Amino acid sequence: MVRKLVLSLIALMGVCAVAFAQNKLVSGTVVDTDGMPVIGAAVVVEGTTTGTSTGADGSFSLPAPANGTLLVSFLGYQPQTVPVSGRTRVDVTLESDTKAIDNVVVVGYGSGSKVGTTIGSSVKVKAEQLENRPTANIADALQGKVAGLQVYSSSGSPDAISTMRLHGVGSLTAGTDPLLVVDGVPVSMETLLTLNSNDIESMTTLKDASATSIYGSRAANGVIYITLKKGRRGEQARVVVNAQYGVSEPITGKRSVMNSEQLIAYELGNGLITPNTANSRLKSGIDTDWRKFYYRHNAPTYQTDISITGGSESTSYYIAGGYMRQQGTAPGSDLKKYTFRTSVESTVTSWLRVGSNITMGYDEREAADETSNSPGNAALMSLLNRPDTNPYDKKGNEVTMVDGNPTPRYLAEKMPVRARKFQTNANAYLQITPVRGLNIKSQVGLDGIWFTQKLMQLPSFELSPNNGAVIRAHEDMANFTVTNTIDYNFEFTNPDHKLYLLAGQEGTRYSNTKFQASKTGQIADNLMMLNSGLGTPSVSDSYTSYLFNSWFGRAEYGYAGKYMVDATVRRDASSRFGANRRSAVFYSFGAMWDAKREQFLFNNKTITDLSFKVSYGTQGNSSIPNYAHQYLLNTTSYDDQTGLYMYQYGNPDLGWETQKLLTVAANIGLWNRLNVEVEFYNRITEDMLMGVPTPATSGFLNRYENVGSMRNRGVDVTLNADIVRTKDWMVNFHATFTYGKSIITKLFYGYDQYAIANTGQCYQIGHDAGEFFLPRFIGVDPADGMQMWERINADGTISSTKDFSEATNQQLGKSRFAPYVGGFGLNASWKGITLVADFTWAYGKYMINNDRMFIEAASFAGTYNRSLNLLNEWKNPGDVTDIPKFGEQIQLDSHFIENSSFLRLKNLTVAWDLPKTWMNKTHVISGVRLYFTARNLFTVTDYSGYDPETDRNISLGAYPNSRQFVGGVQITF
Amino acid sequence: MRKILNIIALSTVLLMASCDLDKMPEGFLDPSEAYTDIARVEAMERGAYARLRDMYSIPTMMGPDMQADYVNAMIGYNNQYGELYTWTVRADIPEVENPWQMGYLAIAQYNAILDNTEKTDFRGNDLKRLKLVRGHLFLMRAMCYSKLVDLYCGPYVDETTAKKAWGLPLMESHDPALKPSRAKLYDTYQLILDDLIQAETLLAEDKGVANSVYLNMDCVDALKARVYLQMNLYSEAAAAAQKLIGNPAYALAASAEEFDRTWTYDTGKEIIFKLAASKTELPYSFGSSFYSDYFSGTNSVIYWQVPFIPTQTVVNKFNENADDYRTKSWIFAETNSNNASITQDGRFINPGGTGYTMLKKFPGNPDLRTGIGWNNANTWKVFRLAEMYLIAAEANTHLAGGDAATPLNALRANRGLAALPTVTLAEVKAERFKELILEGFRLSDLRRWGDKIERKVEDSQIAEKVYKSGLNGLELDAENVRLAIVLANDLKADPTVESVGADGSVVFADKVNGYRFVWPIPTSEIFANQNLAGQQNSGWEK
Repeated sequence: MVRKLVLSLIALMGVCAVAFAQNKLVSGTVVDTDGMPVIGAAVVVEGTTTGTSTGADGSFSLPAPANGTLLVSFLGYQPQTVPVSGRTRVDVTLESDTKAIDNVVVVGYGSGSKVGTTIGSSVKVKAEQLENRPTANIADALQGKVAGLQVYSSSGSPDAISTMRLHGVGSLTAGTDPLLVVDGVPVSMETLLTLNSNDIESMTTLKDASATSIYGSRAANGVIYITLKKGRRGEQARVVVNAQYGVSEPITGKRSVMNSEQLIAYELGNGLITPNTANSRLKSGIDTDWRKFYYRHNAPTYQTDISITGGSESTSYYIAGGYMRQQGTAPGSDLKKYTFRTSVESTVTSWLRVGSNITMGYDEREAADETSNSPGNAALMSLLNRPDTNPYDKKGNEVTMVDGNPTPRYLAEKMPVRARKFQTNANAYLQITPVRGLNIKSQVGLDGIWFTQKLMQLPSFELSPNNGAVIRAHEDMANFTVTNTIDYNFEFTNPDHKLYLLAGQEGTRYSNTKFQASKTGQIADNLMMLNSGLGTPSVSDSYTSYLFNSWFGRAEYGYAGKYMVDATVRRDASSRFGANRRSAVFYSFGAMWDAKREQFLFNNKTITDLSFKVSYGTQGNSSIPNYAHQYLLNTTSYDDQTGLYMYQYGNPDLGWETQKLLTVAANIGLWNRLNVEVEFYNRITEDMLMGVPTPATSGFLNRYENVGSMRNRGVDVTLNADIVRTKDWMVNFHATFTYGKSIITKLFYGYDQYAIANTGQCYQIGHDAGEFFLPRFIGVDPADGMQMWERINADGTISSTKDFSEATNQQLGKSRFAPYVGGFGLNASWKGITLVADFTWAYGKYMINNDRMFIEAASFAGTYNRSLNLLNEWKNPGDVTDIPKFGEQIQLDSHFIENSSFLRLKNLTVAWDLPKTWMNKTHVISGVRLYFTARNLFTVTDYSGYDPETDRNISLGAYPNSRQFVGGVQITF
Repeated sequence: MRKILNIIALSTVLLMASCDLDKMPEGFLDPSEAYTDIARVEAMERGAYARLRDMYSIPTMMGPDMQADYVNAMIGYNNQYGELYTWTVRADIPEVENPWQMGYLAIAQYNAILDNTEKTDFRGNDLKRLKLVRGHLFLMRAMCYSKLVDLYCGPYVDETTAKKAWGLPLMESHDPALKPSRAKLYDTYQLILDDLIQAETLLAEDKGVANSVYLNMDCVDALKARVYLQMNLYSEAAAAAQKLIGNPAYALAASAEEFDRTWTYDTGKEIIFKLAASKTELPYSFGSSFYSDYFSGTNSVIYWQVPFIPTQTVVNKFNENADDYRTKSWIFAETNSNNASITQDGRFINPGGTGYTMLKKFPGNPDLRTGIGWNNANTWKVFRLAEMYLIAAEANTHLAGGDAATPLNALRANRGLAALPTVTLAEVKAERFKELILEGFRLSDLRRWGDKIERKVEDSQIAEKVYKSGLNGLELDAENVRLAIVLANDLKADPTVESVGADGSVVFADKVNGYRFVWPIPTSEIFANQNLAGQQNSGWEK
């Protein structure tokens, strides 16, 4: 039936397959180097329009002249020409084309597209760039690799997850995380920590509308598609064992606080201490560097894993397990992570394929105190604790109290925060091929998290002896995704034509339960159960859920591999929106021209690649609280009886935030060595989801509305150059560059600015959402040592004031969001030795260094250590300095905004693959790789605080990233 | 056949993915289900009480007192009440925003219930219960508006000026879409009085008892007395106060012990209405700013952590008579020289030295302790009989032939003090200064009386040890003893500032409604409500 339909279609198109009378029927199979049949490969008689494609078993048959030549090609493989030479059976083995494979992109859904996969803009990061990283957070490896994708590690905590933003901030208050998809199933960002980087085949970032619109509902911030490793049918079993060990130390930058001598002199100079006190303190000779004391400088990282992969004729498998232990550098910080993975795929019959992938991760973690302003925060207390305080008592024991506060080390010991997390990402699918080319696939996926945390204050804590406290928190999350697709690859007699259609439906059901209980009064460290405490426990309980229901379709057409177009439509409905505006339709169009395949370039030796792409489409954002559209009452209590109060003012008209994205890209390859891709994008966000302030007189302080617009515009450039490429030598240089600017174009209530009180943030039309909004510090008046700020008067003139309350908050033209970001790196190899260096950078990034507010404030003088900057304090009339006279209260103003642009050597790896000839002698081992990796080896920045990479507008006591050195061995059997 | 089976298998899977998108969150109720029976309505009423308590449970309820002349901040006071204490108030600080927001959130809840119960099918006993609910809600609304008008509007001088002066934006029914502009001060007070009349009618049968955590008819009278005094309607104020003075349900403390129990255990016959508190409904730790958590240090020294200590004037006034119940109960000088001294960050610590005096008005109710440690939890006593005596006395000083001596001396007698031969406004002021300390009345009182606020260095308990370093805001002693009397030199040009002394002393005078004596309308409210544009209190327009 379908065949008839296709034939009639072909007839309609006026394309005829003409058989020559003198032809013989030639048949054969097309297999890959592993002996696996290549399904859908094109087999064409050279110089004719006669052609066919291979079936599910790789077989083909077609009429061909005995002296003719067959052209066999398939995307991802090097094309071959095979002379028939009078044979009637021609078997062909295709070799995979590494470069071409890089271009194959999973656009998502269906059995895998054959045509338009090259239209969508996407960047793939492959296994070798992900493997053996000494960090649990797999997003770390993407940093600087994907033009347009900003990745930052804001914290050095081993369980920290990077923040990722594609093409800057596309939404003011709705979420900006990209959608994470693992093997076709959308998962939570937490998965970045659960997966073992050695189990990942590739991570692909989908950037333009053509690639992402099929994910319509949540694709507004881009899609990161993770493909996990799988076995191959017919592959011999292969065992890979990997082990690595290393150490971490904090990246702290230069010391910014005084030593004992400086501090004592400073305090004496300002009359805070008497000469006698100063002398006695100096005499003690104590000069403590608390940073060195509090942080671990050789915190161990240990990682080992094993994977077994292989396949029989019909079934393939991948089984892996891994263990990682990473101690953080800050007191109390620790992570132990266990990962398990099983993947089985089987071709049960010629028409049925089934498969299942299960990843499980379990971890035990202990968190350091990263709360900005507390004695437990080692980053802050390293700055504040006095250098003339001895960390050891007379008996040589570590002191528990310093400068009136318990130390971070003591608090980490006595107030531990321990958590365990179990996460599973599982999916199973069933794929039916009733007729050739038609695939019906049904997949069920589960992303599940079980998390439990115990926060304690041990009864041995000396400030609250025999009075412990326990908080137990529990959370479970389950996100089911059911996807059903049907797709068809049309077969044309003329293989120049490719047509692919896909239709599908997807349902997502998310639920999350949280439960917490706490009790105090425990009397011994071994009695730290809830029931060991006193009185009634305090408990809280919550449940939240959402649903998505979506229908989608996609059509792709290609002609001769030169011209390709695709179109996508998706209708999404979500329980997060009001009944009136629950569903929305998203669409996209894309086109590509592969100019290299044109006659006029085909034989050009200079231009070895040239293509152009354009796409336009819409996507939605629904990253808001689950029930924001509903009018709700919540419970409270009065006189220990239940009461009800108005909790939330609903908005039945709440609907999708939408984006319109236009992308134009060009890719040029020269001499087969240099490849440059340039991509311009223009993204307009409309109907932005925002919690809009409502007057208190309404009974509510805000409600979600669709208001405002913003525009993101920029360019991504990717460069790849094989500088040297000989038999033994290979030197490759690659770089990414992104410039992007986002501008707010519309707000609400007709306002052109919305200052969010006490945050130093203000949304203003024509400005970046991350621009700092603070009074401008002019300097210190040399005459009297007072600080001066800009005051913008009612008539627009600018004057200066020494009264901070009169200073004007203003946009300062500096944003926390860097407009320029990128990375570059070098891959060099000589025989079996490989050197990889990856740099990442951000330029034009600014951050408030709030630590300075603490170490430069006069009010802490005499109690805590002070900043070295205070050595430049104004003392006498005529002194020109930025530090006011002693005692002046410093304010949060422009001079705490620091340039946190940075260049960081993220990864430096040297590896040696032992020669194959040695391996062959063992008969068992097929490969041994020894490697050494340094992560975050050095950083170049002007930022004076701990870590410029912190992705926040304000940094206070930030846990700095780690510098790590690891060595490892990977053995393949 | 095989293919048919395939299709059946597939459609089974397809079915799994269909879903209903109407999701009601668990743990929340649709408002349409809130008035189905009287029990639900009473649950809404308890929510209304909880909202009322929220308004009184924010630290800024004490804010007006922190602006005035009761306490000095210690270094390390951590900017608690910072802008209020240092007179650097802005319209966008939480201390100014919070009472406004909590007040109006409460009013909206009252309006919603009043709207939804105006017409009802309830009969018999249910209807009786409903009437009480409505009466309480009218009273709560009056309480909120009267507190807000006191904080955010200028004083009520007389009808003529009040008809021209700004009042509050008034919400008399629940309509979230409405954005009201400010009414006149006169209309604001009229709404409060109307609500009191409504409450009076509905609550006629609702007699009060001491220590009540629910509102009743007596609370109507108590609020009336307070509001009439705010409006300078002296005979009405005196009459309302007198009703409570003569009410046998209440009595002033008969002994120092009873008085102390009132403030420690939050229970006593002086209390007309207090907010419900329990171990599961812990009140805000007001006391932690004055007489806070101490903890035992490494060598069994007791540390006191006290952000604010009373001025020497306060200490002196209480110490005038050691038998004063209030002195015994509220004034605490650490006498154990092993424990009491003072360090840089506001902690009292060993060794030796003079003890400094602390205010122990909110020492923490032992019945509300949830663990071994203190939590400084005392419930807020909204209406107290002592205030009624003071209102009666003050009103009578203004009334021809008024007898101010009887109520004032009655109060004094029950505070362990001798009767005064003559009672003028000055004596009432002195008594009110002591009795209502830290209950949030002081700024409003000073404004009503046209009095100054004096912040003087020599008024500090530690003034004699103060070492002048010429600091703006900080006074340091020679070694470790320090005190922050935060005095802004920059205030010199302020019209409300009468004088700034060389030592940093400052006198704020309410020179005809100096604008700083009235709080600004919060910036966030004006931003969200365009109809308030141009209606900011004068002086705060910047």
